[in-house]
Amino acid sequence: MKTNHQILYDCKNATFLLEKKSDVRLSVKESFELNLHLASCSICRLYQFQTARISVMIKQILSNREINQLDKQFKAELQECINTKQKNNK
Amino acid sequence: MVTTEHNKLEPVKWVDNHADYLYKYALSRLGNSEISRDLVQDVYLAALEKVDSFEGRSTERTWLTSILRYKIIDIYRKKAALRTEAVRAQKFEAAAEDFFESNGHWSDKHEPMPIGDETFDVIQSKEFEKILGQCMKKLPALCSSVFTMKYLDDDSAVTICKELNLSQSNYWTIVHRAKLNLRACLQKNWI
Repeated sequence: MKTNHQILYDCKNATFLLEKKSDVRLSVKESFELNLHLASCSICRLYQFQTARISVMIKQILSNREINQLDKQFKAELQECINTKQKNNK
Repeated sequence: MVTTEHNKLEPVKWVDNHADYLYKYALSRLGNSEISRDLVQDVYLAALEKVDSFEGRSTERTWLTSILRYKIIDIYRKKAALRTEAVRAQKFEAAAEDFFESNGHWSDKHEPMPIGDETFDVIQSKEFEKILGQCMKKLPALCSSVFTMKYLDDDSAVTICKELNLSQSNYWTIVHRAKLNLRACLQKNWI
C-alpha cells in the first residue's frame, strides 16, 4: 500500500486513474488514491478539466471527418463485377 | 420455420443500397479514401463467397458492415505490426515518460498550464479542434485505432482489447500516454 505522501506526489498515477475512470468504475482503493490526490493537486485538477474537454473534441473531430463520394463509374463497375461473380458462383 | 421474418440478400442491388454507407464507414475509420474504396470492393467479394452462411437473422447492411469491421480491424493490426510503426511507438513511449519525475510528479517542463483563456471555452472550440486534429495525425497507428474504436464506435475497453490483442493494462497505458501527448501538443501549439 502506498503512503499518503507518495499518493500526493504521484501525478502520473492520478492522471492514469482519471483516464481509466472515464471508461470503467475504479476500485475503492483507486478511487481513494485519486480523490486524495486531486484534493491537494491543482495541476491535476486542471488536467482533469482539460482531458475531459479533449475527449469531447476528439469525438467531434472523428465524427466530422470530411467524406467525399464514390464516383459513378466506380460504382457501376463494382456492381458489374458483383453480378459476374455471382453468376460464376452459381 | 417462419420465412417471412428472414432477411434476404440481393447482390444485384448491393452497390446502390450500401456502397456509400460502407465507404463512409471505412473512410471515417481509416482516413484514406483509396484504401477505403478497395475495402468496399473486398467486402462485396468476400460477402459473395459466403452468401450461404447468411442466415437472415440480421439485415443485409448489418451483415455487410460486420464483414467490413472485421477487415478494418485487420488493417489496424497490420499497421501496428509494421517495423516503422514500432520505432514510432517507441519514441512516443519515451516522450511520455519525460512528462513525470521518478516519483511520479509532473516535471517542471511538462506541467499542464491553462490553455487559451482559463475556461478553455467552447467559443474557441473550432480553433482548438483544428490544432488537435493536427496533433492526432502524429499519433502512432495503434493509438489512432484505439481512439477511433473508443470515441467513434463507443466500443468498450473489453472489446477493443480483444480485437486488437491488447491486455487491459496495456490499453490503459496507451490511452493515458496518448491523452498526455495530445494535451501537451495542444498546449504547445496554442498561441
